[in-house]
Amino acid sequence: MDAHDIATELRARFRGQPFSQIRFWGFSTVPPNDQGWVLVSTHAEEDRLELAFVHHSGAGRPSIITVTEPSGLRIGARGVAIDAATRLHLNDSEAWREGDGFVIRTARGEGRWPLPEGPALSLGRPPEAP
Amino acid sequence: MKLLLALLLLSSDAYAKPKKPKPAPVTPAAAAATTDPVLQLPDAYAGKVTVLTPDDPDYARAHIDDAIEPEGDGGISKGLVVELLTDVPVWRLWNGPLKKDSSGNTNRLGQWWAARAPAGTRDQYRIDYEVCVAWNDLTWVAGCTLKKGAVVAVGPGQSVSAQTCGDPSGQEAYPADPTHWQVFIYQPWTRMGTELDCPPETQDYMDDPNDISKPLLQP
Repeated sequence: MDAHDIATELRARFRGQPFSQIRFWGFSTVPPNDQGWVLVSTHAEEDRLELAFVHHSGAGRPSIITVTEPSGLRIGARGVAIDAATRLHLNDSEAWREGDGFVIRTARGEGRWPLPEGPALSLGRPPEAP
Repeated sequence: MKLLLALLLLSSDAYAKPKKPKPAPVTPAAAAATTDPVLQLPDAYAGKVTVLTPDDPDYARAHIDDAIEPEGDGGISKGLVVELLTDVPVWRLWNGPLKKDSSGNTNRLGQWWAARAPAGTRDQYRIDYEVCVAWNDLTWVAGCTLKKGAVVAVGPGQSVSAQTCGDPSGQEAYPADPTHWQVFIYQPWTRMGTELDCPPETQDYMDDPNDISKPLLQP
């Protein structure tokens, strides 16, 4: 399943569903469960996937999560997970694979962390991996 | 089954007729023993709420599963779903009207609130309610009213890890706090005017970091 397949699946099965968490390899990029968003569109260009979402209230402009080389998709009633990626980006938060870990850079600085068991990207509460 | 909580702090408003028949009042301890042997509703809620059990048709409206998180993930560590028997003031600290996120929205409205009026220093509040620096500046205070009939989740704060704080340095983390209960209002932006009333933003105040119960005095 490549970026195009994932874009198609998410568009068909997750668009319009609210979620309240966005995590890059377990790192929260937003305060968990404080706001709510819905996916409004997906786009794939070569190995890059773009996910556009808006606040659940409809207020404000869309934001975009960019996922480079995504693979593995799990969709559940309460969230989705993309199991692997090489780079993730949202606003001033960016994370990328490096060696056996990943580097996360936010407005507060940069740090290297071991790769967790969970997915590269999770929106809401995705179903457990089989 | 619903359990009506004790009358320790019951105001006259709490005697107002509920929407549907309720069982006889019981003490908070008795209510907790029936719904969760570990969790006891603080006395401050007594007489103001009814604890709902999972078989109640209104229980799902609280979305308590979105509020309860495992260790390190923030939210609440455990909780109860309650229906308000009377209007209850709730508070939320936020970043102020000038600070907007990349979408152009402020964080005045969100799902996490407190039923206890803000007090003490800003730094202590951050610890008490496990609010990471990146999440909220805690510089402004909004006071709203959660209305009679509203259904929300309440519970003590869960611990927050550096990963959940989004702190790349790994330094910022908070332990769970069993004493400061949080109020989880699911999608409050859909409840305005029905279950939640907030005054105009102009009635909020910029808090004094040394005593957030007071407005910051401008020179």
